[in-house]
Amino acid sequence: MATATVNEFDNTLIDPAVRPPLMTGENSLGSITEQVAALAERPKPPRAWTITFAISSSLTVMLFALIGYLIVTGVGVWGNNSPVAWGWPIVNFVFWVGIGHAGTLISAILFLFRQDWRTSINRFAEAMTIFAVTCAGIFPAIHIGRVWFVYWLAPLPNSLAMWPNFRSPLLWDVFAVTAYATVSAMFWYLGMLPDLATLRDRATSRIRKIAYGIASLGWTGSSKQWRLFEMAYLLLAALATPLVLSVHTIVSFDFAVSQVPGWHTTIFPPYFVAGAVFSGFAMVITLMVPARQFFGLKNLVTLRHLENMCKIVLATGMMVGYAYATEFFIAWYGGNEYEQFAFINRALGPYAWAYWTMVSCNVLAPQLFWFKSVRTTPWAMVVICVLVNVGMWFERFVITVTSLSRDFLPSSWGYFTPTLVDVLMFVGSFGLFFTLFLLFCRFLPMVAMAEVKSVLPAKSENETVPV
Amino acid sequence: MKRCPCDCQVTSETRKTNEVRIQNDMSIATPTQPKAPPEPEVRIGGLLAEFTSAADVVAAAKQLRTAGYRNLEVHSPHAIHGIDKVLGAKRPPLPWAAIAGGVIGLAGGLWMAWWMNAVDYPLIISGKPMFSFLPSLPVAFELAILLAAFAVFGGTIALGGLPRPANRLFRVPSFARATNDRFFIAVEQSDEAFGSGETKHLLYDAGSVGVESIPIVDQRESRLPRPFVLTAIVLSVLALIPPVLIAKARYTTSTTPRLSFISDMDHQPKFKAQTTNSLFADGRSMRPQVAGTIAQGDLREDSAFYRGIRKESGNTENVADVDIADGTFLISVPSEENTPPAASSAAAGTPDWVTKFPVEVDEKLIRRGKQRYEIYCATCHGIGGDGDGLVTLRALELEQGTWVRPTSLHAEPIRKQPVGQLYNTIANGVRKMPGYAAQIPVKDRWAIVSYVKALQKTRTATAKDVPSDVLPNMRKLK
Repeated sequence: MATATVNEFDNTLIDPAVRPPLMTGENSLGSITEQVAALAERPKPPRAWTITFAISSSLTVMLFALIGYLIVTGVGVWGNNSPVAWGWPIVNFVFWVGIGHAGTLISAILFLFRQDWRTSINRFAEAMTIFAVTCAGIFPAIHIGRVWFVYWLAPLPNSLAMWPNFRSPLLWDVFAVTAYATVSAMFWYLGMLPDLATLRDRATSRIRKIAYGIASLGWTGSSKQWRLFEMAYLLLAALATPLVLSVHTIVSFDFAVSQVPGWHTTIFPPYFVAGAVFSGFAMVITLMVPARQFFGLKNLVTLRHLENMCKIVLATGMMVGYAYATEFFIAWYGGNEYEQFAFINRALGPYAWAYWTMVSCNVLAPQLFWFKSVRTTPWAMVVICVLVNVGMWFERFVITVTSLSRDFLPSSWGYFTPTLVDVLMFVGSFGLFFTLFLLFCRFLPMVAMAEVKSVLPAKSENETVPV
Repeated sequence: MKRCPCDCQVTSETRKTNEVRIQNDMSIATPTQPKAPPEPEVRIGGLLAEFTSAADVVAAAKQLRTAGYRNLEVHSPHAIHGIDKVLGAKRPPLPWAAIAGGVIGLAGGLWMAWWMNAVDYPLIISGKPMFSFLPSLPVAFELAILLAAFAVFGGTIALGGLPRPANRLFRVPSFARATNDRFFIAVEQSDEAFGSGETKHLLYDAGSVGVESIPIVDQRESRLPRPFVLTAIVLSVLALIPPVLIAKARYTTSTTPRLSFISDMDHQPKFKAQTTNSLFADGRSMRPQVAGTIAQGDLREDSAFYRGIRKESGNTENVADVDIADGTFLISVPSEENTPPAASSAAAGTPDWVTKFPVEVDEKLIRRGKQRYEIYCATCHGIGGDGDGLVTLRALELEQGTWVRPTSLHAEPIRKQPVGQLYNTIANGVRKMPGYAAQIPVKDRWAIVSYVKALQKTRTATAKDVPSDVLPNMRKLK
């Protein structure tokens, strides 16, 4: 096997004459099954898992307790107040939805572009997507105030004989996020069927046999099932690609369709989508680096995978930086004094600290990825990617809060201050995210075994394994 | 070639038969070969052959197809490209399902936006059209994707014969590796070319590392276990209870108050008007005004301004006290008949009407009065004050017996009324006309009076009334 590897786990060497391997080391069908399935079959989880899970599940309990407090007391427990009626809950919503974009992007768009390296990381990223969308969905749902009327968002016949307003971006948002969560979950589950069947066939205890047996729906890997699976996967990828682009576009409409200076700009849809991919990939790297370390997946998730993702972070980071610059240019070029004020206020006003945090984290920090040594050093990636996600949270904070705190009427200007509940709920949402993620790592196949197997290098000349 | 591990001998004759069959198969599509020598009575559902690589299983499948087998299935841990061609499988119709789902979603989304917002509950948003294509598109697009994805997912599950928790193949222990690292060919016993011994040899010849029989499973054995069935029945019966209760509540009547799980703001800990309150000696929730006090803005000392009556004259008994806001309601009903002209003579029982405006009259006031008049008065009195407003005309046309036509403002008695009386009419009404105190503020009432006076003047004025400096240019005035 002609390979271009530097050392055991490093396949980042660029040699035009040889195709670098997608995975390092000697892998066979059986070794991949053994390696991945064993992670979900350990009788006792590692100590690190137990400790992390204890922390994250406590935070989850705190989140739901706070939600209960919010429902019983009212939204006054948040810092949202005139003029900033959209505070942290909406910032958190956009933050989490944005993170939830990388998974489907890796699964769908990279699949359509035949990027075989995606097979090692797609399951992981899709899981992350679904958990991030779960966290995202909580915030607008509790933000509506009287959560027991959440069904009013749906076009259901009711005793008021009223229907939702189909010209409101907030309604579009409900449809977009619901559709996205549903399609992502179907995509994830369908892709996982063969691997669930692997776990079923390896299961030794009766409970696991029944549980995985039900979850795998009786998959046998027959060529008929694979035929359907492959076509369905392709179709779902083709459907999810425009969907993933539309979701953050519609989220940006929540802002762009209004008339608040600083929100009412046409650049928002592409700018938001680029930012979403940016933050999503940063989150995948943040989670992937420790996971491949702790679970011994370095041969499947190679340094080259990480390097590729770093390149995507760099590219999308520069798109985001370009969007920041364009906003200012258009504010000046458009000659609208309210917009000009909004942007000068953003960079130099009372929230300048947030604005410059955002710029340093989102535009400056990723520039380090120009250096190959940074792109191939896992801890450096994690540091930069954590900074990117801090920056992306601040981006949503800057957009939401600075624009609202100083709008058309100077007499109602104000300065937004979050409450403790705001902060703890955001922390709690991380708890929920990590709880779901750790459960996923414990009980489900973390790497798409069947897909990795299909891109293993052919063993013999006449083997019809795809390239 | 693997050696057959069973105790039978792969004779050269058998092999020859196979070769003949292969040759025949190349020329004839459906072989009508005589069955191999009668097999010993073995009741099996088919044969399952194990292979170590995708290449081997593809080659073997090709060989079996050539040998005339049609009821084959290949099981593999990952998708094998090119196997469909070997097995002669057709493309599944999933794309059509996706298109159907997408079209239904798109049309459904547009239909919802149109029917819900433009037909069933027309919703005016910023004066925009009730229905337009672009703002309806996001929802329609998302629904198109969602339904197409449902169609693809559902199609995959349904066409794949899933969920299928029980499968005969699972009874073959080695089959567990089908989802791990081994490749299998299952030949059904129902295949025309099937013959257990012969097929087994063929499979070994094709490179199988092990061939096992697929057991025939007793129907009773493959049934759902009894506890599952019982649980399912109990759960479905229990699930029926809530909808039945809801249906009963909806379609029957009850004298008890409705159940309110979340009362919102229906019940507030506060006292409402006309309720009792044990805190106070008089038991009333509503508190009377404290004696000797007056509410902000309720001190109306300037009688001429507020009532149109000179203060010196104590004769006010015929005039309703204007304000509803101060809690005093009508003291007395205004006189039914028109007050006689020449208010200055102040007959007994007639209030001493103000004859001069208590406010400064200028063009601005009159213009304000015109505007207010056209809003509040003209509907009945008519733009010109002739008592021919649209409401009047309509009422007369409908021959409403109760309608009293307003007196023309140009009638002699009205023209001679002092301004105070006109003011009083606006504030308190006269005959059938209701008072407008609640709608028209005091200053505006005087503005209307000033305009009515100007309106009356238009019918009686002569050139002498026009100031001499305006007269030459009067035709140019607007």
